[in-house]
Amino acid sequence: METIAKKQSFINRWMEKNDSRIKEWRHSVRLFFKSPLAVIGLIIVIGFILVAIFAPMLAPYPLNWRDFALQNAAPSDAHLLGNEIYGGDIFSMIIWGSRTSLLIGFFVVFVCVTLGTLVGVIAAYYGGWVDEALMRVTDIFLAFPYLVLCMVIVAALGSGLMNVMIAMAIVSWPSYARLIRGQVLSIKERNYIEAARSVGASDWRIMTRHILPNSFSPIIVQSTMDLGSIMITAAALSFIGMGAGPGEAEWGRMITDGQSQLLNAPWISTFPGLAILIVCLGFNLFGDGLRDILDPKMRR
Amino acid sequence: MADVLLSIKGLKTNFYTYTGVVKALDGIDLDIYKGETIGLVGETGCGKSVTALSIIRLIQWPPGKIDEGSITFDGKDLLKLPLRDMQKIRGNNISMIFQEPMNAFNPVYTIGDQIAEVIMLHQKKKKKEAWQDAIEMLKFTGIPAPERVAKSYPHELSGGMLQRSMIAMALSCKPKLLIADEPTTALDVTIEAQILDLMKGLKTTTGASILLITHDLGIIAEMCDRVGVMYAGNIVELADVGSIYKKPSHPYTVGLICAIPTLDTKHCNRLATIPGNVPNLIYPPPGCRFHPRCNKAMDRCSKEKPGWYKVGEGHYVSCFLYEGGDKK
Repeated sequence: METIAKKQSFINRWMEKNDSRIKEWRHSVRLFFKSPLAVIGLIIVIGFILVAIFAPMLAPYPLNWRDFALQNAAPSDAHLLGNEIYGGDIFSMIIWGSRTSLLIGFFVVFVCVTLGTLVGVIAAYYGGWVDEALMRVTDIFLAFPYLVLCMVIVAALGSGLMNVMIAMAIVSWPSYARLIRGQVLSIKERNYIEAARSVGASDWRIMTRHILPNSFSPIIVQSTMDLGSIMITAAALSFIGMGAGPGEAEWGRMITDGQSQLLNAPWISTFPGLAILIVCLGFNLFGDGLRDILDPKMRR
Repeated sequence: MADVLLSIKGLKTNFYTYTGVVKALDGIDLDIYKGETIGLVGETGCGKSVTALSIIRLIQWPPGKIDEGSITFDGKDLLKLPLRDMQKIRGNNISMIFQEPMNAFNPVYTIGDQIAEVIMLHQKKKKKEAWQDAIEMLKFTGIPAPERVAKSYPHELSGGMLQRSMIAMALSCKPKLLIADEPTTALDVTIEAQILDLMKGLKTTTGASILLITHDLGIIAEMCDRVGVMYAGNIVELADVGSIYKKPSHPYTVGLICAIPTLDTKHCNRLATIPGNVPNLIYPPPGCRFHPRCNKAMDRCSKEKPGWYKVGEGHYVSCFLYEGGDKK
C-alpha cells in the first residue's frame, strides 16, 4: 500500500516538473488524432507490427507447411484465402511474410538514416570541397534509375533477401543524405549555432547537440513514408525473381508464383498484393499524420 | 592608466565574395582596459560586429578571413591559438551577447539546459550542480521565478526574458570580457532600459569589461566610459564619452552628432545629414575612407591614410586636420 502511494507521489512530482513538455506532447497527440486518416494509418502500422511479432501464434499453419494435394485450391474454411501453387496456405504465408517485409523495411531505413545522416551532416557542416565531393557521390547514385541500380547490385552480389536489403540500402541512402544536408545547411546559419560556438562548443558538440535534434523531424517523416515504398520495392525485386526463392513466404514472391495461375486461381496473387497495398498505405497515412504534427508550419 | 585586458593591433578582416574582396576591417587598433565599458558606434556595415566576431574568432571561412593583425588577451595572441584552446576561452574568459535573443537559443532545449551546458563545458561540474548554478545565474539577472524560467523552452519566454537569460548564460563562467553586440536592438524601449540597467549593475558586481556595440549614441552616453567611432572598417575617433560629445573632432563624428535630432531644432530647419553614401568596401576610397563625403577634405586625404593624432587627454583622432597634435 505504502509503496503504491510512494510511486504515485513520484509520478506526480515528475509530472509537475515536466509540465510544459507534457502539455506540448498532449497537444501534438490531440492534433494527430484529429485526422481520421492518420489514425487509420497508425492502426494499420501497429496491426502490421503486431502481426509480424506474433506470427507464430497467429498463423494457422507453420512456416513452409505444404499440402501438394491442395495446389491452387480455392479459399475454404480450412484455408481462408486459399492455397498457392505448391499447396501452401496463403493466409499463413501472408502472416509469415509480414516478418520479412518488416525486417527489410527497418533494416534498410536504419542503414539509410545512419549513413545519410553521417554524410549529410558532414557535407553541410564543413561545406566547401567536402560538401562538393560528397554531394557528387550522391549525384552519381541518384543518376541511376532506382530499380535498375538495385537489380545491378543484386545481380552482382547474387540473389537472396540479405543481398536485396544491402542493395536497397546502397541505393536509398543518398536521398537521405540530401534531405539532411538541406536541413543542416539552413540550421547551421541560425543564430543559436553561432551562440553555441561563442560559448566554446566544439564542432562535434554543435553537430550532435544543436544541429541534429533540430533537423531530424523531416527524417522521421521521410523514413516512415519510405518504409512503405521500400517494402514495395523489395516485393518488386522478389517479383522479378531476385530476393526470395520460389515458394518462400515473401509477398512479392507470392505474387510472382501466382502469376501463371492468374486466370484460374486469382487469389494466389491478389491477397499478397492487397497485403502490400494496405501496409504501404498505412505507412504513408501515418507518415502524413506525423508530418502534420512535426512541422509547425503545417499546423493551424 | 588601468591595465590592458585585450589589445587589438592592426586587425584586418576580409570577406572573399564572388564579386570581390570586401575589406571589412582596415587595420583596427583598440585597447580594452580592465573593468571599463567601451563602446563602438557606427552605421550599419561599418565593421562593428565584424570586430566583435574577430575577437572571438567566429568569422566563418568561407567567406570571411582575418588576414592581418594581432589580438592579445592574457598575454596570448588569440589569432594564433589552436582552435581547441580558443574554444576554452570562448564562453569562459570572453563571452558574447547577441542581437536577437529570440534566435540565440536552441529551440529544442530548455533555458536551464543551455546555461548548464555552458557551465559543464568549462567547469568540471555535474549536471545537478550546473543546473543549480544556472538557476543562481538567472536569479542574479533579476529574473522572477528562475526555477520556472530554467524549465521553459525559448519560445515560451518574452524577448526581454530571453535577453536576461542570454546575459545569465554569458556571465555564467565569470568572463573577463563581455561582448554585447547590439544587445537591445531587438527589444522595445522599456525593456531596453531594464537590460541596460542590468548590464551596468552586473559590471560593478563582476568587474568584467564590456565591449558594447551599438548604433545608438544615447546608449553609449549612458553606459560607456570610452567610445570608438567606426567608419567603413576604421576606428576614426577614440575618446572618453564626455569629450566625444563636448568636443567631437573627426568630421564624421561631428556629422553624426549634428544628425541627432534635438527638441530645440526649429521646425523649418531640416535635420543635418552627412552627404553621400557609405562606400562599397570592395572598392574602398584610397587614403582616408571618409574623404569623398568629408566637407573638410584636403588633397592629401585621398592619397595617404591618416595616422593617430592626439587632441586631448585620452582623445585620439585619425584625421589630418589634427596633425599638429602629439602623435599617439
